[in-house]
Amino acid sequence: MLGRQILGSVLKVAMSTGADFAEVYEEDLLSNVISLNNNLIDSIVSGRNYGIGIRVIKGINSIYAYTNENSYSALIQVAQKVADAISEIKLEGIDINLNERMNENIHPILFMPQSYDTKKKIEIVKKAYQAAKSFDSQITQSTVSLADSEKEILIANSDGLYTKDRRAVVRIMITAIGSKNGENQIGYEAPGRLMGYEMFETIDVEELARKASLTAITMLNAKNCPAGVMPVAIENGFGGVIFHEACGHSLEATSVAKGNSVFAGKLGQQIASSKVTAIDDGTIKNAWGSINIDDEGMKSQKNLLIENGILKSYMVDKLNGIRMDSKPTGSARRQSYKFAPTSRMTNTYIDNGNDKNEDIISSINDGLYAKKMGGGSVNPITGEFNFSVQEGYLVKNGKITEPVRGASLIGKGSEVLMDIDMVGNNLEYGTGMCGSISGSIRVNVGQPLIRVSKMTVGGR
Amino acid sequence: MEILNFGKKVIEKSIEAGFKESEIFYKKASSMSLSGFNKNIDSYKIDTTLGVGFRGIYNGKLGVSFTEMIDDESIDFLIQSAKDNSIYIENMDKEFIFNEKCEYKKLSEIENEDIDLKDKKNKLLELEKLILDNDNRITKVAGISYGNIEGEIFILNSYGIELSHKYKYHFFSGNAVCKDGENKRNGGHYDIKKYYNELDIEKLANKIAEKTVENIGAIDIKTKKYKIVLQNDAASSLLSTFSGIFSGELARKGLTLLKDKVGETIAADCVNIIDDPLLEEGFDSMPFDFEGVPTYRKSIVQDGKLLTLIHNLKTANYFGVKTTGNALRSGHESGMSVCFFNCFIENGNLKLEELMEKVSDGLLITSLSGLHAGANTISGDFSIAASGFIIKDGKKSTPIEQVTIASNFFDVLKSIELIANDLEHKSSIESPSLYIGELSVASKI
Repeated sequence: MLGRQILGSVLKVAMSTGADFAEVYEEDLLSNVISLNNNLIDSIVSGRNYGIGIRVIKGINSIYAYTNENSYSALIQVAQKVADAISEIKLEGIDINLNERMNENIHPILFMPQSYDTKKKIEIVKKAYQAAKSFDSQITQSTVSLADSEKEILIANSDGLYTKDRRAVVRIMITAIGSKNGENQIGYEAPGRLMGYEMFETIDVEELARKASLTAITMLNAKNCPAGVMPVAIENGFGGVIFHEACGHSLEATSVAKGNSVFAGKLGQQIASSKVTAIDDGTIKNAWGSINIDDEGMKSQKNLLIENGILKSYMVDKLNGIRMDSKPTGSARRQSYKFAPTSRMTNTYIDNGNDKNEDIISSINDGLYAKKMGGGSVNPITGEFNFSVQEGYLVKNGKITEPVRGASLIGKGSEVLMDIDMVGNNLEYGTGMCGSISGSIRVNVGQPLIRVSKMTVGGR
Repeated sequence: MEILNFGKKVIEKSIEAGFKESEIFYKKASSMSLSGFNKNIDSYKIDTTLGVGFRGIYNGKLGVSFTEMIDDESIDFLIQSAKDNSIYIENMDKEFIFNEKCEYKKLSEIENEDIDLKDKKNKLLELEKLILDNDNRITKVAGISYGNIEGEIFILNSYGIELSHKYKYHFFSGNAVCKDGENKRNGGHYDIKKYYNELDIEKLANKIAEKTVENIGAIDIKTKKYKIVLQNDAASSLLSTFSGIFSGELARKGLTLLKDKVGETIAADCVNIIDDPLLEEGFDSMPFDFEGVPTYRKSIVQDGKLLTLIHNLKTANYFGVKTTGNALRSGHESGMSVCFFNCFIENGNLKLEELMEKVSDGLLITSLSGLHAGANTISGDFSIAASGFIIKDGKKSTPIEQVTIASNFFDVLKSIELIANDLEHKSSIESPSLYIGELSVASKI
């Protein structure tokens, strides 16, 4: 990684036309993806991504440039380009003194992915496949992918910060396909961690593979979900995608700062039912969405977003914080050096509540139990969101009855938050990839079983 | 080190290291983008980037690796990683590196344009002003951007194939907000062209403003079945989401229901789907695919019958057919797959207005969201959010609040009854407006 001397000179050039702040972000990533199909290893791709991004801020304006070349001359050239874009005026350059700050590794890594035996990786993949495929004769296919990476990052800025971080990430993606009468249905599980291969000592891959197959079989034999407005119980884990889409994105300074969020200007106001307390916490040990430091070099922290329905905090990055006159919250993230950072989520969840899970189900006369959610999306300006239900069941007279397929849920963030009227006590997290203007990043969503008093359910 | 030399060195050394045949793909690109907000250009991004992908066949098995670092160490990294990986491959479907001498069609070269950065900044701010001035109900412009991308793709292999292809385009986009009582509505649009001087910001500003205010007064409609017309943008996004069903690669893996359906009727007989990699107006047109195979225009579906899946050398061999020249590496980081270059449902004979008249009463869906989550290529099922307008007495009328529509794409293909003539070429997968029969629609009431 680049040294303090070179970076000091680069930052000096970047600041030489009167910028308020300059930052260099260097990233070196080694990754591997193993794919298995029909019990045979189908492909293994390994590679290296490498690049440097230079950012400059003046007032509320920013310039960002990136390159793969890390020679002194190439970097000075980019720094000059960026400085010239801010202003044509050349000033007396100020020396930047960089001090290295070490970071406590709150997410311990044991078995680094790059040196972990490929044979052992393949064993894990095959275990998952066998468990999924042998679950039931209606499971005709299963595909498994195992992706891992080691990323080293370095951040240096004109405030004198010089800091590094090393991230190891592993994720296995299991898809089970059930077929009957020329129709296919799928089940999917994709656990991941900010951790090395010791991850597989903490999860039961075969159990998860069986879960995926069970979903596929259940949906294969399910009827179409009816369409309509009804109470919905959303199970824990990936069910947290409801909060992520309905609320989370609209609390990122990325849209709040320019007044483009439906929750802009609402600090201190009630934006959710008093049963809702929601948190974004990048410090959860080894969780899929976790970070030691964010991509501006700030230590990760636990951010209380909503407390008993009252909006307490947004997620803020440096640049949008300047616009909003707010302190950054350790939320600046980017997919890679190809993106400037902006405020994003980490592990975002609705905290446990006081309701009993049995009571949540028994309270529903005619509704839907969304056991497993798929992904979704939101328009932060209007708050309109949508998401898909991967595995759903009808609820009649307080009891879970038959499985239904093809359900989706839509609504407005501001409304659905107010309609969460029961919050259970079995908080769990689910992994996902979140896309926005600073690229695709790993995030966790989470919640206990919750009840939404009414939602629009799309079906056939 | 210069990248072409780097690529040649890698191939040379890989043969020395025991690879029987090998191939290098690399892409060099530079881009620039501007964003504006509130009469100010608040962000400017510039970049140059490159990526190199290696594929080599060692002992009959394929090794794949990539890098973004161009130095001596990386030559060894590429070769060693690919070699190490190849050992563990178990699937014995034959792999290929293309070794035929071919003629390639020539696509028009994009001429140079010298545009001042100041001109671009001014035009972007003018776009914002034009949107605001267009309609006094518009309260703000949420964002405006300009971008241009210029790149070059190279393919070299150990059989002496050395091909390159340049591409370039510019775009403007914008998103505006208006008030509708207690609610906010927004609308956005973009314009993409090969030449900067062809971009029309006045037309774009009008379209953005129109798409923003036309949602004012949106009402909730009853949950039930409706006749659905998918407007061209919405139809294109649905087709794009399900385009994988035609993939020879997914078929090889048993992940598409069309695997054994070549020769069968899979769509209504008015449906014709073409893939034309040589389309002049296409932004993704290329005279060769990513293996170096010459590309050509082909019928995928004709009069509703599936004529072919799309293939690369490996998938074609698996099915005992010839490659269709659709090999794609979606980036230096991926292995070889397949993709459409310019896929489209052919125009019908009706204007959209005429099509709506024939439908008489139903819904005109103008945009779809949640496609990445609510649609599944393996099953064909989709249940997604949609917005649009009521069609009343054959005319586009009141806008509707967000609803969901649900069905199965394989059923939709068979239920296409009418096709309009409003096909546009803005991306690699396009459709004209379609009337697809009745679908279940869920709403608040």
